[in-house]
Amino acid sequence: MGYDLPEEFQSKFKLLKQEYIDKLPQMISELSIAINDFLQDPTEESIKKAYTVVHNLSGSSGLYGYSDISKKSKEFDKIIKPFLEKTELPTEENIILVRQKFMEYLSFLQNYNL
Amino acid sequence: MIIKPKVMIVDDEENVREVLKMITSALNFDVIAEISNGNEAVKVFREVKPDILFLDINMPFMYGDEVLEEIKNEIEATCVIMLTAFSDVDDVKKCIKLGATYFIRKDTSVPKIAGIVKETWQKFNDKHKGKSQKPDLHGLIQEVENDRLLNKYFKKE
Repeated sequence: MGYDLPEEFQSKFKLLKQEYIDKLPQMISELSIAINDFLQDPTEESIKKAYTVVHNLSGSSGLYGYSDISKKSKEFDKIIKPFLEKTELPTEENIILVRQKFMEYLSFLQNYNL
Repeated sequence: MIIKPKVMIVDDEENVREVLKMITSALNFDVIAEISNGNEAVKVFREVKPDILFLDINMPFMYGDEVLEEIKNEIEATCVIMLTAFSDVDDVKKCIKLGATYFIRKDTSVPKIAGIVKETWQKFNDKHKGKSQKPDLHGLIQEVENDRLLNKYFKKE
């Protein structure tokens, strides 16, 4: 069911993909700051910042062919979303779980070979 | 004169919207609205009445299925294509029951997305010209169930 996209599309898409690759370290750093802020002081603002980065990574990574990043991001997205929607409270137990899952996710991203 | 189908894109991620705009332009469709959240999507949908609506399922604050629930009685002339991530199986099924025409996983390759969009629109358009039968809802739900990778991931959770 594939479609032959024109040359112009291919070059523009290549540029967007390169932009994504270039921005990834910055996104990881932003995410790390936001999650650490949340773990130290779980405010609505800190969780919103973290969620935005994770959610963006989840969608765009898949589109650029990095479905494993997308999958991992989606998993972490599901862990922090309840805090954003306030269906989960940042209790001590929950914070420990977020920290543990975040360390796994961060390590995956940092060691990922693009 | 060829009338281009009017497209509305609803996704909170700018990257996704940009790539979809590029795909639809390559297919010679006309993007008339680009929206980043569900609340605004309902309002704009009613204003512009697009021929094709791309609707992301997982958006913060208002999900795509909630948007669809709001407009389900107004989408007869709109080809609704849901955009999904890995684990939205139940949401996809719900959206199809609410009247969505098809679904696309975001990790699908771009040429394949373009192919799916082109074919889905052609089938939808033919149906509206009375050329084909009613959509096979059961078949479509079965297709969601059979999405091997999607199910594999889902079972792990």
